[in-house]
Amino acid sequence: MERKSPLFLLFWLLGGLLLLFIALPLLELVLGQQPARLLAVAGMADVRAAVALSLEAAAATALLGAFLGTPLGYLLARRSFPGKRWVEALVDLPLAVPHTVAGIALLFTFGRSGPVGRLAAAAGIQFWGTFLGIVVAMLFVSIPYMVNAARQAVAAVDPQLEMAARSLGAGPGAAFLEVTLPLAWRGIASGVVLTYARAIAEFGAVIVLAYYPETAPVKIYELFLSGGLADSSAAALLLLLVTLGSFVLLRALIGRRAGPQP
Amino acid sequence: MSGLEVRGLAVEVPGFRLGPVDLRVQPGEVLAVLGPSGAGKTLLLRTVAGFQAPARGRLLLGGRDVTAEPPERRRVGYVVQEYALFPHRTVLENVRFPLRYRPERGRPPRFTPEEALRFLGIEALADRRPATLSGGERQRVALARALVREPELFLFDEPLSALDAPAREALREELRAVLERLGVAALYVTHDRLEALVLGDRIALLDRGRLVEEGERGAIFARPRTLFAARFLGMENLWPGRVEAPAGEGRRLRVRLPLGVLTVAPPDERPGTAAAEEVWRPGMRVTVGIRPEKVRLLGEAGESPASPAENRIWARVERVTPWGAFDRVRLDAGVPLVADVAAGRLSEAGLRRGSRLPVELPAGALHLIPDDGGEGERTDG
Repeated sequence: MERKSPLFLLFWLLGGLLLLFIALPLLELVLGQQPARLLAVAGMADVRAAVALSLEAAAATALLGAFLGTPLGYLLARRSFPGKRWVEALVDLPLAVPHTVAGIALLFTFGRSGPVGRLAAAAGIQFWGTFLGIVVAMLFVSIPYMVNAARQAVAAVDPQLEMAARSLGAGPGAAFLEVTLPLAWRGIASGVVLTYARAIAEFGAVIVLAYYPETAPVKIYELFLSGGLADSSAAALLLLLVTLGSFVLLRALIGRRAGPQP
Repeated sequence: MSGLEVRGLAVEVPGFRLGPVDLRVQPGEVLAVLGPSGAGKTLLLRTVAGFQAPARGRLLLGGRDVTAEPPERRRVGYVVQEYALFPHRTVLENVRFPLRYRPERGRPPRFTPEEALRFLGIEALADRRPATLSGGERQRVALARALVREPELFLFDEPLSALDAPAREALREELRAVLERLGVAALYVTHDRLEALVLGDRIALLDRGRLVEEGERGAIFARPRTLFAARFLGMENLWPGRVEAPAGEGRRLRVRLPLGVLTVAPPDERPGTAAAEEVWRPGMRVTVGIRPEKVRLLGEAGESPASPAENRIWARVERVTPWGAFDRVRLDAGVPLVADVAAGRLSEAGLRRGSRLPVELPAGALHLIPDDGGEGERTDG
């Protein structure tokens, strides 16, 4: 038994206040609902479509993020190169950019007159007001979580294991797939979950680049403006439940599949 | 030739230069690369394994130039500290790993995974995970895995340094026995001179990126040619001196040292080389060394002071430190003098701190190092 100290009593007190600060608003959201209203909102086709779209776009963002973010995370974990600190700062930059600002910057790039937007338009691809636009906005704001998670996951794998694999005859690709990836899997996967969670929550960047089709946060905002608090809070609870459900499911999946750790 | 040949190898990394290094390791021979940390030992090993591109020089493995080959194209059994076993695989899966990347799939391997496990006596561990193994078991698994790779060369990077002392001592001998049975060339990197002595047939000394000295293990311990080698290999007593004159008979020399004039009888190291009196000319500055176990304390039990009075000096016991099988005795002979004697012998002879006793420095055990042997190092350091 540790000895009690007033300092740690204070820490417990402050920690408890903080937990209450997180839990209370969510609890209020649940308690403030009338079940009939909740069912009615859940039955609205546009609300259901918005929630489904949010899930799909966030899942697509997370997978795309893993595909693009893992290689960069690997390089940051394993290689030293000139300007590495700048690259690390750049990766973290989306965390510091206000999301509406990010949305406007993305609009300048991926919008109809932006450089990428024009190029894509030539290939028949449009970002403004499309599913792709939503994914681009979500990816921009959530990619730091993915890259940093992948970097930490790879850094935690002893580089000597890769060297052993190479020396035993495996090429660089085989060493990565056979040794590094299976060992970093859990960390990369939790990066995917974080990316997914951050993506599904995104409002600011999405609303600028792709107001339509409406994702759940945009729909909730619209309900808030038009119908008031009752409808929007019911939709908000719906989104909260779906997000929380998928989040818990993904976490459980990672926990089960990672296997015993060394 | 087969085995390993390193020709004029130079490696450059930020803030450090290794080489040029020239080395040869014959099949069945273990070359221990010994040096302090920061000497470039691991860099040398990584370059031989193919993880670091050399700036200059060539690497030949089994007579084939592999300088430009990536690690997976060199037949090297690389065994690192803590063994780098794949933690997500069982022992058998670890040992099978090299089979999947063999270029010659048709020919059966010299060691199948099962044979490799049997060779090292660890068949029973096949289904275990590395995390559940002891240090010794891990070493055997790492060796078995490397065997399946059919290496032309083993590379060991301080494989024993992460183990506790009893395991280290046992595994040192076991590794020696396994290497003898295999007859494969091996490069063994260590900072521990005892490990180098037990495992190396020859020893190469590395210091700050330079290959200082290389030779047969007995010779390099008994007759280092440089001050660095003498110090690093435990020649505790080193004094600056000047050759006075040939002592007259045979190859004996008289050398003036801070503790008096001593007779030195340099052994005839290499047949056909010049006689001692021609190599060590009068007036030449030298360093004279003697290993602590060669210093004879004549007051000890069983030592008769009636032996010839050559190289006899008086010294006072300053401190006696138990050192395991022997006691390390620090003496004051005008200059500090270190002697190792069998444990307990000193107190049995009634000698303790403050005792004065005659000490003999046998002429044949005194070793001469020319003053350019330190390559700029001071002799009085």
